[in-house]
Amino acid sequence: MQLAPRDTQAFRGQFTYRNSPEAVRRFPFPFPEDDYMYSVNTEPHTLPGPKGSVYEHMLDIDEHYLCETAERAMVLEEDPARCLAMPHMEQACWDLLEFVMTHYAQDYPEHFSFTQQGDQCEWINRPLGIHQTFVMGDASTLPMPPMEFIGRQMQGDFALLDQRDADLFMDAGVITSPADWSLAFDAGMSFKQWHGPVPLAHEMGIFDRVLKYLCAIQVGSPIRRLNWTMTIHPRMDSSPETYHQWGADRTTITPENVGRDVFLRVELQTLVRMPRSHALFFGIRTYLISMDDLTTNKAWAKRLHRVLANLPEALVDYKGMTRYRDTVVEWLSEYDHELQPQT
Amino acid sequence: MSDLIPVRVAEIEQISSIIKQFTFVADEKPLPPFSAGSHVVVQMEGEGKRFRNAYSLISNPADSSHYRIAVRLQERSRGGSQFMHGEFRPGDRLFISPPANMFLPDWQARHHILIAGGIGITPFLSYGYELEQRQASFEVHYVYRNAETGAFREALTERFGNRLYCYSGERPDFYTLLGHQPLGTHVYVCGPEAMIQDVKATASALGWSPQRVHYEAFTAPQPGKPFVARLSRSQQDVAVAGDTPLLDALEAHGLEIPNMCRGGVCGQCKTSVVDGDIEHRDAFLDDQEKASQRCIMPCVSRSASDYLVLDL
Amino acid sequence: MQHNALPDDDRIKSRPIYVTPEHPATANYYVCVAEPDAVNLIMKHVAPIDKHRTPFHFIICADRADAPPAGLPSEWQNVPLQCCDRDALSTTLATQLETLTQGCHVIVAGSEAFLWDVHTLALAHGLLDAEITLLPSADNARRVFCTHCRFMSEPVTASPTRCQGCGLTLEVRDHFSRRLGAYMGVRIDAEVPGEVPREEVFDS
Repeated sequence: MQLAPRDTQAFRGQFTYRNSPEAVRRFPFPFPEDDYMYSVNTEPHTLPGPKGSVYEHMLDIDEHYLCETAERAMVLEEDPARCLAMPHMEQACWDLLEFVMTHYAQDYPEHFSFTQQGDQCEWINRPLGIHQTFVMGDASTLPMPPMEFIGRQMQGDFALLDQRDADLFMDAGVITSPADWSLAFDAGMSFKQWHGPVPLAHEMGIFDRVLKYLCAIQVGSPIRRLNWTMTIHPRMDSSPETYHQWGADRTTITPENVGRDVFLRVELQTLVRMPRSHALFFGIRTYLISMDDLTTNKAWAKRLHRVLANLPEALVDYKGMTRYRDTVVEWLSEYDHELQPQT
Repeated sequence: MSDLIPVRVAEIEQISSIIKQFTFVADEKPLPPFSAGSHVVVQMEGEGKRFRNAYSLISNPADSSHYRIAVRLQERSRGGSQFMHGEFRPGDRLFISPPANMFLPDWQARHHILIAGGIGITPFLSYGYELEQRQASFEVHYVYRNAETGAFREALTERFGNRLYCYSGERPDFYTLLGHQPLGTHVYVCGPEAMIQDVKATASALGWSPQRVHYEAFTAPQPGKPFVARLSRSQQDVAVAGDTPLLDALEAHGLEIPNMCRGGVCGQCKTSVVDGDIEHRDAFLDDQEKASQRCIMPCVSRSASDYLVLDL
Repeated sequence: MQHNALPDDDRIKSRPIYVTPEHPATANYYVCVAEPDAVNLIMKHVAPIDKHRTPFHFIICADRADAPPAGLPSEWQNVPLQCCDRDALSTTLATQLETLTQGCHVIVAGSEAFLWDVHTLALAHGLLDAEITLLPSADNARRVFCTHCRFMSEPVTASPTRCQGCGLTLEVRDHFSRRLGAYMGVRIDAEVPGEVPREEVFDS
């Protein structure tokens, strides 16, 4: 897989981000039906997944790897608090490091290599030009703490959830491309607390069921699900912290620029039990596709039109789409000429 | 249930006349690392029967070159422990589930009190390595009837020194044991149900929050009356022998039912019941669920009559 | 005391629900921590407990280490009483808790932010949530965490509010962090600068 060259303007400023036809083809379109409502839409992350798809490997790396890691470096420079690990998560951080290095090297051997002789380790990241020997478990042998060290080399955000008292706690993570939530504020919260702002789902009992399910995940049985929202411009860092930088973008959408400036934002969330610490890895891998690119797939265009047209107001508001939803629905209607059910 | 791990028996050690220690090494892919308190389900075939028993890992979580378990020969057994004691040989191949953990230490605790009854010492053997590695404060109370059941006392004295308290043929005074503990203490109990209830009651009387009391019951499925399980979706009947758990019988019939503990505590195997009287023997369903007669934990529970109709 | 929201509650699920238990929790020692105007909340709550049989310790935390309130009921005369200011609260409480063994209970009374500050301190000393009772005073003021500059503004009585750190006008959301004892504040006019809704005073 060819990596696009490192470009610090991909996700900000000039917004030079582009998807290749292959990236468009493999985009994880999240809607199985014309209506969208919350469900416990988790499924086993069975490996290997379909060849060439985003589900093929434990962790997905694509052509945007260099751009995303560059973007992460810039966000951490501006705001180091986006990388947070509470002291009791030390072992979980080492679990994470070993997990990522093992799977990156196994699944992308052209880019990564990881060898272990007992505790003596050697890690090579060719795209980023990193060659590191270190002792597993000994932080003094790494140039920075283990979670930060590997986190800077990962594509996608992640949290490490501490499991205690049949609940999960957001006690560590690297979150540089959130869909409008703050790790600095949510750190330490329990599962239902950090999901506090999500409308409707609590009343449906979704979180009770999901929490029980997540707490029962065993080593060797990862699960995954898709989450979605929309973003104006391919902005990865749509955090509350920088809201005053991107909030106004929501007011700029006209029928002329929907295709270029409105993006469907999908998160592939992967939940993996970490073996030594028993913590839960919560990977949040973000994919962005412009409306122009999405509508090259006629089935997707039609379905997205219907999903957005029928979306409950509470969800429209929560997903921040209030100002532009109608304009996008109107623009997409061109792809949906069949008789539609009256809403 | 996830993929089983193929292993080979590397060593068998007789620890006492009724306790044997088995060491497994990887047969194909490497053994995954595990967390202290984890258990594996050992799957073995014998005499037309398949056994699936859960055992705590007693080896060092930091060393996944091998897994070690200790098996007590149970008098009233369905045959699993007898099979392991009698039939296993070094070099034998078998399958185990990946490690699962329902008894993880609370690492926020400032002091850990481990109370073991007999073979209930096993999860604390792996705890010990992790507690020492983290330089945590802990004490171990090992309660056993005699040298046969308290076979680990010498090995533990060597490892834990004066953090180990042994009670041969006597019951500790839990009230004194738990009284005057530093703030932030948690207690862990593994052993017979009566001992667990005793510690829970004592902690409660001392004003301890129930969240400080962790326990793992060693409930193995007990035999009962034979009955027929009718599968309402496939319209098939499954005969369940008196000495076979319902879950085992369903699995022998070809069904795959999620499971993790095989002892009625984890909730994974919960199955819907369409008709019949259920004899609940589990520790997972609440009173309302049990009274509804609409669900069962097939790993330990059975029919109270001669049939059950399951939504399978 | 879990303070978790119930499913049929309309409010956001991260906001704690405060339910004063009918009976005080059973314990072998009580550490009470209160802001001066909330002292009587604790006294009322623990009235059923015989102060001669069970040890108590009272910490009153004020802006200044004032003299203890006069006219305490006779049953409180022999209860050790300490007064401290906000800066000394952490060490004062630590000194108390370090002497105690398992089975003690902490009771806190005061404004919401104060409750959770003491709650966090107690957790750091090994107590569990269930071993802490929170009694909120009838004060709707909030501490607000500015997501942009991370400054804590308090007391805040209405939304929107001006951040005392960076000056941005913030919407005070109902999303609450127990660790910080604060509500989330996000710039209210990021989308259309200057478009600021009418101020609404908190009524709960």
